[in-house]
Amino acid sequence: MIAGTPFTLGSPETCLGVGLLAVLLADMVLARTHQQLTAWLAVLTAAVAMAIAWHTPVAGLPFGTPARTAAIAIIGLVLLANTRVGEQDHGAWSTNVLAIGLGASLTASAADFVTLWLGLELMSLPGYVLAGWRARDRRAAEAGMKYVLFGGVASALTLFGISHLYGLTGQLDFGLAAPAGPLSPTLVAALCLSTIGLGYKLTVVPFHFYAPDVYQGAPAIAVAAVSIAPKIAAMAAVVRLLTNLPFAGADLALAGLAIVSLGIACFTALVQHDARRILAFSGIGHAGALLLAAACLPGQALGATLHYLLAYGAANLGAFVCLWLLEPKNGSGALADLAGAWTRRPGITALLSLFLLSLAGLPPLAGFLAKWNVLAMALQRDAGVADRPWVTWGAVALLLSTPIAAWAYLQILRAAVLALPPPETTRESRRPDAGAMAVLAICAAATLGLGLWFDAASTLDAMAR
Amino acid sequence: MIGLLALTVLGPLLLAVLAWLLPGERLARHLCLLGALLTFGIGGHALLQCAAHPGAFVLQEQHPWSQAFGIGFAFGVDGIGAAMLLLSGLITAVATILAWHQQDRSRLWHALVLLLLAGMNGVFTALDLVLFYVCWEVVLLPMLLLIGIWGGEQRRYAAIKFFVYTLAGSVGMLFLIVALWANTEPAGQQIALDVTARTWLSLPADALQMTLPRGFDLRHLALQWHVWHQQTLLGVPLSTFGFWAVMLACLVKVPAVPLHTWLPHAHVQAPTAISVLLAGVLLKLGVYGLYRIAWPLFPVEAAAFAPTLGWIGVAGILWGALVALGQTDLKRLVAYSSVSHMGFCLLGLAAGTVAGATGGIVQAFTHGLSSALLFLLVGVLYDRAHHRRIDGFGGLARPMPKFAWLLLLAALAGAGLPGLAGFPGEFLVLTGAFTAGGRWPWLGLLATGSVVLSAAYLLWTQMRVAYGPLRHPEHQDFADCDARERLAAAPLVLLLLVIGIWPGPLVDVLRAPCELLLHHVQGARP
Amino acid sequence: MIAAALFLACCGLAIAGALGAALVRNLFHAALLLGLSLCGVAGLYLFLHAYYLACVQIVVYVGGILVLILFATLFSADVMGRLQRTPRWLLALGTVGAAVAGSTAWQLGSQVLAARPAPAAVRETPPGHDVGAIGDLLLGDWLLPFLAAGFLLTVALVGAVATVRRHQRTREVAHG
Repeated sequence: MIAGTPFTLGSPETCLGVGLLAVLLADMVLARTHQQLTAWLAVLTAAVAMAIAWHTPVAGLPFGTPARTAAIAIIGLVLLANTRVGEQDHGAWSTNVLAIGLGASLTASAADFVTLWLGLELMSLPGYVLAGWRARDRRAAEAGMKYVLFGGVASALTLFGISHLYGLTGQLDFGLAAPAGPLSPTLVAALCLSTIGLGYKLTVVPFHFYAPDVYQGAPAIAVAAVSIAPKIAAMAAVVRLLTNLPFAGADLALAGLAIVSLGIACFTALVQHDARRILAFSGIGHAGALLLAAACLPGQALGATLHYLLAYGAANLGAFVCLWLLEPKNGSGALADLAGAWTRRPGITALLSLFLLSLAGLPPLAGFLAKWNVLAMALQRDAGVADRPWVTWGAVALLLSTPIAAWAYLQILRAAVLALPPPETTRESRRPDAGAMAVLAICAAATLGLGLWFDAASTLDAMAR
Repeated sequence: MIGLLALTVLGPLLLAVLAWLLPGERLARHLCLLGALLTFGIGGHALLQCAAHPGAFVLQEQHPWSQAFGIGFAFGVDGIGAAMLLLSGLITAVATILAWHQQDRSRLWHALVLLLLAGMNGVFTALDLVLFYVCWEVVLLPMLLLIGIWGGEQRRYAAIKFFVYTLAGSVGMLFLIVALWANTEPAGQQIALDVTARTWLSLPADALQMTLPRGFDLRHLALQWHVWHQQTLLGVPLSTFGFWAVMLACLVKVPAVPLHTWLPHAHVQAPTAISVLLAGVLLKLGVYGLYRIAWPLFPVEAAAFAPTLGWIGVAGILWGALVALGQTDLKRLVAYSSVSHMGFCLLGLAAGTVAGATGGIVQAFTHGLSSALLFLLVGVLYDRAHHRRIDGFGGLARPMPKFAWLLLLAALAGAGLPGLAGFPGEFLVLTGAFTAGGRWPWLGLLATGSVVLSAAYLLWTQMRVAYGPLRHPEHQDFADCDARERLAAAPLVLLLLVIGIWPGPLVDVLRAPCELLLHHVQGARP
Repeated sequence: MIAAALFLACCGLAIAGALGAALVRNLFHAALLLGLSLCGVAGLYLFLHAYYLACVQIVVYVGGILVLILFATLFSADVMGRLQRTPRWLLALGTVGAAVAGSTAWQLGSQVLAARPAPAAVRETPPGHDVGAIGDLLLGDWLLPFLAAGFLLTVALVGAVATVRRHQRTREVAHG
């Protein structure tokens, strides 16, 4: 019998769904002057959902519990950072961001392909709306359009693959779909097709084309909502697929994708002139590193993967919030428009530097330890681990890409810290409120803490087992 | 409980945070000076301890960091580390006094200098490879900002070039560190102890065997060199790979020809105080890495590569000197003279004799003093004339007699005049090369040629800048070195004279660890 | 033979309708063509013995969603104000495209349909009696995806409204 992902009332999905509807209602009922309440209601929803997720294990996937909690936490932090922005309608913003959280939560806990696909779609649809948030901007419109088209194709191909999978095995459940013997080529093709949606969310190389344009066109805070939590959730799904459907050559395929992603991302990032584009390519490179960690599964790589996700999430969220606070009124992310950020807002620029250096992987920040863990897993030669030359080459690629990627991050630092302020220094940017500062403080603490706490990965590994 | 060596890292870190966050520019610079003097004091104390316990690691302390990987905050210095720690504190103090009147964003400046100091101290005192690497990388950021914010015209280009160049050099080391961990036995490795091992580990004479735990203690890693020799990584012996990774990281920092191209840019664009720090301490990180990591961990590869390294050293000595001869910019000249003088360190270590190895590290120490003094004096000139073209000066001895005396002293020390600190290092290195046998005397002979060259470019510069008729009448009004500049120069001058006249104690302290190191390298047979 | 012809008609309808909906410039026509395409797909479901799905397709998509789309199109002043004529060449292209697609489907369909009986799962359940089982599944094992699909539609609706509202607001700002 086909069995879908179990549903229980006390799940974070329920909480997020009810909260989403409540926010919608509140948006309709409340007077204009009290609109901000909806934003706080959304933050509260995310906080409660996070608490529930922490205490509710994901059935059949211990890794899913912390991953799901982290994804919801990221969503909550994004909401917390943007509670006080008058020019947006809060209802739509909060609903869409919460929906991404709901989708992420579903994706991370999905045990069958239908739920997985619905979760991916739930993350994508609000993404389309948020990417086109700045309607007046031509570039944003183009980015939104690209996003919708690419996303639509990826989603259709995923669905196509899932239908083949069902046709071939009569099952939609991850675990049950695995036949006893070796996989037939058709089944492998179907599996590959059905994971395209995951690759798209992870921005792994053949599915990455949309990311730079979308990141450039959308407001930085919307990018933070669209990019980080879905990546965490998609990674949880990847882990579940790999543990339930182990097939020979998975490590080769993953390491190959990782090498290509790392290589293309670091070199392309070098020639960009927009901070958010650079971060988009950074995301592509980090997705490659994550796939490399996944290629080391099974083994102790669960903790390494989880640590990488947390480190990447904290630094990336912090960087996007900083960029959002620093960006000028027209929302441009161009490096030239960052000039003189240091003189205008030294504290936020210093934090931005911290996050970028963590992304670059400099010790003693979280990004360094994340890289360390992945390398340790890739090079490990304990008994029972077969020799995997591809994974070792992936580790070499990860290392070689490090200084080049650091160079790209330095372009942002150069613009924000080293460049002279333009003659008219009266350029306005957002005034950070308590919520945004709290988010930055949390991200900074996580970036330092996850870097200095060297045993984080093994602790997380015990949790994810 | 935090010991003295941990204090040299944590103290400056804490002071950096305070200097940045607390209001008041005056406070910041006093904190910076405090950090430098603290380091200097602890370095001096450690040096005395090392003199009492030759070859051993003194002031050891160990705090756990990672159970899973066996990493610890392990500190301890032998003579080499102690001398470098002393140098780091001294040069930072000089740089702080030089930048005493730093106006622009001075709290940030002093905080970054303190952060830099913490990183450098960490490298010199770490007994744990991971801690070493972390501190090695921590140095990059403050340097990037110090050059990039306060530097000259092309500061951003120079700063980013410095950063990417050195980062690219050191990522291989990260790979190596992880590979070392992946290739050690989780249960630990049993080894037989010889006299070197017993001295390094401060064990009694009757200890013959020991099980080394899996981890990153530098001494443990060094004693397991044969393990790295047997393992392979992608078909290459791990020790070969690791040796080259460390060499790349260190040779970029030294800098050895042909990896030196970041140095002239960084030096010319950096503000004076930072040039002083760069030449005085940062270049020594590379030499220190060779002595502490490359040679002990990979003795077989080191012995095999030594002749090539000797040639690299000589190439640096000659190339730096020849290029320095042709410079028209004072700072570039001093920068290339650094390339030349650091070549002696490489030659000394490569020669494989105790005299050579000791000379190499003595040279590193005294070059820190003399190059710092030279950069300081170039800065003095730049403050007044706002340019650094050699042909734009002349006859400055008349309006600035004290400056001319200092410049003469620095030039003579740099040229290796007996009686000044430049001499013992170069002399020991050349002795080491001449007594090493084989082709080494030829290398020594070539290196000796550069002594003539360095005398030529330094004294020629002295002549063109300080002597002769006053070329530019407006220079008549130049004020001589003021009290602050003299105060900054004083400790350098003092040490240059003292070590020049009485090098014995310093050489003795440095010789003991070098003897052990060479004993370890020569005892290693594949 | 008649079955094959009907099957092909459904294929042609689905493909031509979709092509037309994507290509014509008149929004009203596009919506109508979309309806044709949906009807064609419903026909295909019938051929696959999925009677319930075919009914749902007609009732929900053609009867519900398409009517909503038509309403939205009719009431949107912008579209009514600027109804555009579909260029002739596009119609011609659409016809040719549909013909090509249809002839390909002929080749495939005539063979497939002749060789293929109803799948086992369908044969076991007598026609018309599978609705209860579907209901059990949707509200039992597959409750979570079912609810999630509901949320997906809600979010899509909210997103659409938000996007349109923002566009209108910016247009108002732009026009003063």
